[in-house]
Amino acid sequence: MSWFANHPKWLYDESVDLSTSIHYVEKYQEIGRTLISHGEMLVRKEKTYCYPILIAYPDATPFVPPIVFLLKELLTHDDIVRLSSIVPDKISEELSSKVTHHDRRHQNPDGSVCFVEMGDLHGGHAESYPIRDIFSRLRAWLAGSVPLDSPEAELFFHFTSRAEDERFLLPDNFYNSVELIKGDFAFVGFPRGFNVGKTIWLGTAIIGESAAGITLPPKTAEDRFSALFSMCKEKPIQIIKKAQNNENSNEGLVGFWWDISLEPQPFKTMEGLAEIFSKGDFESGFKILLGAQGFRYAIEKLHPKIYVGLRFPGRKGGRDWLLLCLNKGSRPPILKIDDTEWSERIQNYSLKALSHEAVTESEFHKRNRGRADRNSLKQRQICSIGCGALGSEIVDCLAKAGIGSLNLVDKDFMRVQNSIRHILGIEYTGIAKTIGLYLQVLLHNPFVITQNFSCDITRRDIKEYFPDGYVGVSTIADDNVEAFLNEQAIEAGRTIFYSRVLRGGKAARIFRVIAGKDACKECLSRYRDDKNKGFINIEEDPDLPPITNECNNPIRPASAADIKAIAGITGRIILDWLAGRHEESNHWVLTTEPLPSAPTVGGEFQLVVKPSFLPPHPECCTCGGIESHKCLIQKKVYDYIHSEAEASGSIETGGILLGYIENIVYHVMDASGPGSNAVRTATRFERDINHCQREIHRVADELGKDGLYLGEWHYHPAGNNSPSAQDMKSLMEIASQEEYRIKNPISIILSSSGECAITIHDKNGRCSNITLEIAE
Amino acid sequence: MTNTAKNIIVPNKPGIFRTVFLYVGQGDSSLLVIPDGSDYRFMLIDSHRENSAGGIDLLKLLKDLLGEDGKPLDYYVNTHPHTDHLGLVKEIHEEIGINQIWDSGHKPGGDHKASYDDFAGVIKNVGADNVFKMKGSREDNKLDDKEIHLGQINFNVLAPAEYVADEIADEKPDARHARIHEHCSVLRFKYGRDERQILITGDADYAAWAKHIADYHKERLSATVLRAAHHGSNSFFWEGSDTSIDPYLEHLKLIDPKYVIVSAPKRKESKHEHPDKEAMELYGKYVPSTQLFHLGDKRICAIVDIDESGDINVYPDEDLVNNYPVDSGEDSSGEREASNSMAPMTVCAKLDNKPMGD
Repeated sequence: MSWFANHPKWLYDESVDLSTSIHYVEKYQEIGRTLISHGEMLVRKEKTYCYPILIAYPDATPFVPPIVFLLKELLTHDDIVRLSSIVPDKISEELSSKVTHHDRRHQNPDGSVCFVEMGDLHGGHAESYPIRDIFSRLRAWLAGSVPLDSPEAELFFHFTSRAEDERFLLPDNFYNSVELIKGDFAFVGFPRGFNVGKTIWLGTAIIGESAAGITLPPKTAEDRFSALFSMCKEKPIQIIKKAQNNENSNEGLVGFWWDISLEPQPFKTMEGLAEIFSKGDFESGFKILLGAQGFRYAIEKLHPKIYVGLRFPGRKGGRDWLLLCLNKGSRPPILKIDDTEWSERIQNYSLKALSHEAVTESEFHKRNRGRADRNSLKQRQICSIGCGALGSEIVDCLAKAGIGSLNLVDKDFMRVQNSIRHILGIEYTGIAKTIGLYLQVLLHNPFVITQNFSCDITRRDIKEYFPDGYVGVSTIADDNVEAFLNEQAIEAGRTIFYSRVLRGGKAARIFRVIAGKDACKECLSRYRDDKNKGFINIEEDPDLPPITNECNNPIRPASAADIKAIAGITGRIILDWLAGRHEESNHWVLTTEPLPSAPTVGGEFQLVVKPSFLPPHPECCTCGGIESHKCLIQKKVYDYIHSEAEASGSIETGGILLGYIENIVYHVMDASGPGSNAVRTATRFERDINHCQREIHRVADELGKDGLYLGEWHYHPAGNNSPSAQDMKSLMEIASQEEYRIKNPISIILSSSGECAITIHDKNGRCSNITLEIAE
Repeated sequence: MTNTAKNIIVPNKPGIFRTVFLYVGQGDSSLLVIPDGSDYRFMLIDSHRENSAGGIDLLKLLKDLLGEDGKPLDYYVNTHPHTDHLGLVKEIHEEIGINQIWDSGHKPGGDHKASYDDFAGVIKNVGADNVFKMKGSREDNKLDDKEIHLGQINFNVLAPAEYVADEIADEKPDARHARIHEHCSVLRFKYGRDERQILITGDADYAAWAKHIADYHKERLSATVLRAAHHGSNSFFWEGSDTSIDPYLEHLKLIDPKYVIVSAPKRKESKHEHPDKEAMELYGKYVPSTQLFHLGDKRICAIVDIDESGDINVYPDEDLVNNYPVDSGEDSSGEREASNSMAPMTVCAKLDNKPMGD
């Protein structure tokens, strides 16, 4: 549902202010897909300067301000009509050649300006940006004013000769490819981004043959590791081919492996290796080794390094590995290679055990056992809306817990100063936070399927980044954007946990919103206004004011210690809820000190988490079901529709209802009659559209925004006052048509005995009876 | 803590000369914010409060601006002692305090006597040493024959001429009363390296301009901003009520304003039908419509900023009117105020056929 229908009063007020501003002379105002106003800003200096501007209202209105573009010259009416027919995002593209740049702060590259109010973090209310405020600021601006458990690779540690400069990570395919008994493997060097003299090799593929001697297709690492490989300059397949061809590649290696039946004892020499295969007969063992084509080739070609793996039954079940690096000695080869030479050449190699770790799903999540169950969490999906300091820490917690999928949503790029609190470091400066966090999640838990959405949610449909089945975590800390998110999430039936750092990090508020079950963000605002005892108000600490505010991004003090603590508790609350624990609470207040408004909550130097449950506010018009609404009809209107019905005899009659909506109350201030061209039979009524349209305009003239369209009334002379199937269909259509400017129209039906029934309808065809009161 | 009055009226950096033409209904009041080093002084020229016509509650505004900090008003200037230019003076003195008074010297009678009595009482309390008579002078910064400096700005007292004041003072009350607008003070404030001027005219009428001011002060009349005399009345252009004769325009040519500020309610709200249609048409010939401010029409104040270089910035403000409304005393609780301006019809619902039926 567009904002036109969700916020008709706002639409009305803005439209009036645009046309009557003291700073702006409006030339054209058009509403198609988008509300557009075009005209000139007046700036009075030694003379009056007129600046052509175009104002476009985003879909997230009124939670985000209208977009104001500064133009080179006035556009035509046709231009404005065309622009009003497209989505706000496209408008900036359309205007790209028409905007003018003042080369000053507060103007965006697309020619729009950004003038924003500082968000009231503690207010709990969305802040709105009426155009009249923006005009004031624009005028002034234009006037010149501003991680097995290091799986104790015991075998490795028992080798006296160990390679300490390489470390091997083995994914699931190295363990679960049990149908293979021997073959090749391939690893890709994992770039660290800094030089510590150690290389990490990540297994990409294991290739080989079955016990029956059949060569099977390569078993490659799962897709989730592909992003890790994307950090390499070359693709893994290219790296492997190079390595196989003995071409230089610092990014990959290949080796040769065999399944063996028992964990071997440590050994020091090539003979020791060979004896594993032949139980003391190393010459026979050499032949087994040389039976591997690649190994034989490497010996023949005197490769300086050869990698070998032995896979065997692990002590804790499954398979385990011993990886070795063979290093060629200085013995000069003999050109004619006979059995002796093959043996000599092999014995010319020394060996070192290589450290390896499993990066299998079970081993990787072992440390979470009992507190975060991967088996259940992998079925869950999280959408993190906000990837700032708090959001990134919560994402880190959830990713490490083993959430199945993560969608990362944020519009911002890393600034160098972010690093002091953010999970990302300076090396990510200038990179989208979502991309940096995506890589960070990958580096911490490659088993999490992560997607990043570097976008402004106020310009996106929630379904694009927050699919059904996902649970949201919002750390946006912007009342307006969160109010918009709340509205969208309620409508789309999404569950969201909101977390916000308050009082400079000394306190926090976390709350869950399941539509219809929990108090939503708007409900909390209402509880706060009601001074409801169940709602703990957390006032701002005047000693910890915002540090700066740059383009709608108020930076507030709080240390990483505060943020991590709050992120950790938020993460814990979410994990518990996902595990079906503590469902009886939906609101948590954290504090490290007695709160000014609730001195009994919290103690000095003591972190207190106060859980509570807040149900939906009875008068919340955001999350309240349509059934929570009421209707108050003026007596004169009530009498009028009755008299019209009475005079109509045995045929139907009706009209439209006009008035205003205040919270959950529909105030019916006027009603139209049917009009002379209405279609009226005993069982059907179609109002005279032109007449009723004129009535809409008349009442709007008379009552302004208190006289807008609310719904329909009609009379059933031959029946009861329940809506018919036709009535339901028409009301559902009205609710879904933007042109009606109403989200939930009401319908009053008079029965043959004159009894009134009132129903409220939505675009999905839901209908509910609501109470009707008469205002004397 | 700050408040709307401070936010809007006090410049956020030093060196700005700000004039706020306050909308007070059928009356007049201008607040000058005078740069004085890193600080500011405040001068109120005339004052008024009216329960109708949607003007500002001046006393409430001044309390927020000054009273909250316990600062008195630095200067109170009365162009002439008519009620619509002198209202609230007693309350301002009692509740905020006045350091210095500039007085036109006229003694009214009739309907205006009560306000004047209040003013006389305030003058007495402020003390003779702090009360100055305004006498026309060709010299800068001359007040009551003394050189007075007003922060970083300069000023001229253009009227009343001393001889006019003496002549009128010697007349009988009725005659004196009739000539009060001829005896009205006219002040011109100047600031900026590239000098800009603000001309405050009170209700100075045709006689004052044609007989005493225009010719004698013609080198000192040019003004960037003209506060239109007498709420946009015809009396600035015509000697009598006959507007069929050619208007007197010499003064306006000499003033050559870039901006004209008319302090009056909507004509239908004014018992004197101010501003006069003919006068507004004449002003409209000298300044573009975007530079002619009729404060009551859109319920705005007009603010003029001049910086040290002379850069001028003129802008309307509606927040002062919205935030300091006069409480008319009528109980409006429980009533919703219907909006008085209409949105384009495109925002209204657009109907199509929606059959209903049993």
